[in-house]
Amino acid sequence: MSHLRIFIPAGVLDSYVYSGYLFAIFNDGTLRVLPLQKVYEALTSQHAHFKGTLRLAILRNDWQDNLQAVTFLAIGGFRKVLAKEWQKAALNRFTIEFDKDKDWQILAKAPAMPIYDIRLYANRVYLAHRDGVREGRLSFYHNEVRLDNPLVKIFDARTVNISARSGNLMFSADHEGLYYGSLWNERKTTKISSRCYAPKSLRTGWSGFDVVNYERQAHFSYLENEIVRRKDQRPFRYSEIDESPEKIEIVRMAAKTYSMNEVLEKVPFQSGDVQYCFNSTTTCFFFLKDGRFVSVNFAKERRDNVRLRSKIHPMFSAAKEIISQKPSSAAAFPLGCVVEYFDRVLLFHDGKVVTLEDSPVISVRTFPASRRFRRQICITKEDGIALHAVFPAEDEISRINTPNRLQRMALAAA
Amino acid sequence: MAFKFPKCKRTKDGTYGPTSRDHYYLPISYHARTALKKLSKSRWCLSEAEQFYVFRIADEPWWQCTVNHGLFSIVDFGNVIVGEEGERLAAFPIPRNSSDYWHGYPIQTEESKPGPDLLDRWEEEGIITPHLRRKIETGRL
Repeated sequence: MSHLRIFIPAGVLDSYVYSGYLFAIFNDGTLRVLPLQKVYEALTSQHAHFKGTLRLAILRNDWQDNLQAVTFLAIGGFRKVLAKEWQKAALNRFTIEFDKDKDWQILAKAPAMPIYDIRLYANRVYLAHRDGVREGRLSFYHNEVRLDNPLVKIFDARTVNISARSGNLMFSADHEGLYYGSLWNERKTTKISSRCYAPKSLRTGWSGFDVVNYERQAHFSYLENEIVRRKDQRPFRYSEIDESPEKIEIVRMAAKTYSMNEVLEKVPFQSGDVQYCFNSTTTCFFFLKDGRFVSVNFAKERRDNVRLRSKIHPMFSAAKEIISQKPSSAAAFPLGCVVEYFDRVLLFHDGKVVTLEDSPVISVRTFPASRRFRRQICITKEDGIALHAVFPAEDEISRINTPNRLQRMALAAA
Repeated sequence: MAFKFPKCKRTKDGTYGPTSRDHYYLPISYHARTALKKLSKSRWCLSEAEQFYVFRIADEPWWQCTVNHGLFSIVDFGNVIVGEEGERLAAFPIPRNSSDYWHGYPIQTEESKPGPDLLDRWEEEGIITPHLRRKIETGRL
């Protein structure tokens, strides 16, 4: 496995990749933005021979997600050449400096510091901090982003995490509880329900259109939501180039709540054995206290009986010494995950474990729902931002080479 | 390099101290690393003398949190793990009587954490970095 690392020195507290731009909260409290096109141009001016590879890595992670790629990657040796070029580029330690005032465009001033979480979603920016959540609407132009209006306060409680899916947002306010916001029927700002859906929440993860609420790093409850497919309604304003135009609205949040013990009913370990857990849409990942790292799939054949399946899948058992430490955070990644420890960041991908950073970091972000940036990992450090781009594993390429229904139809039509 | 704790001897009555504030630390058996695992009791991964050091560095500069009514401690920018479950912070509740011995235990920030007053002070005095503060406040340490 090879991954490109591009380091951008800057005094930042957090960063986020969205719609072709790198957003960052600087130490002086300003929210600034840098076009990734600028990063690409600056890099290729120094490393012209990696122009193609850098373009795939920085700007177009969707290069393998179309019919042309299916055709090209089916040609024997094509993938090998591509992988070799990627590997060659990965040997470089790309560092590119940008002038804080000339290159980084100021969007707004953060209302309070520190910012606990930043989320870019549906052409909006959300900043979570000790006094609540602020929201700003964004407009994207050629190499420029504008904030349509000053940041507006939409929520009062101290918020530590925001997650979003299909026009629905979850706000985790630690001991003050879990709150829900919606962009459906949007007017100016996100509409937040005054009801508290759980007494405590550190973070949330989405499993389809249901929410997994983590009250502690090793304990969760599962909130099953009632949904409605809106066929005729115009969806909320999403990013047409990077986000899916989902048309499913949650009409009843937490219609049913399952405890962790209920969800783990069939699994051969108990909630007390878990050191850290997180989830993706289909899978729950567990770091167990005995040093094992396992994944278990959700079984949701019946809507009123959400459970995890009984079969557990050991992951990366070779790295037991490393993974027995308690993670600080973790994020899903295609065919694996990225795990932040106190003093390092590891990528678990394609059966291998790779160290992405070997010093403490501030935040780790992945963008699995993004079309163009799903293979990027954005790591914020005290001295800058490290962007990692990972080459797809053989299995991922094989999956692409197996045409899905739409591709089969297109091939048949051709 | 691993952090080196200073040596310290136990007094005849099983306590450690005094600190410069004339406070004594009494290790509690159910928080000891050799204690049986209990759901509601965290356990140190440090020796008694090392626990006293963690207490002393909080007691002498008086790292008191007015929100949670106790002292909190952190060693070497959080680089030292103090608890069996990876805890890097410790809490020392204020004794009911001023003559009582002090005791303490490791804490997970997802359960309990110092309030903003102490975190402000730690950050100003360089005890923690801004990013470590963010991890404490978001329950990730």
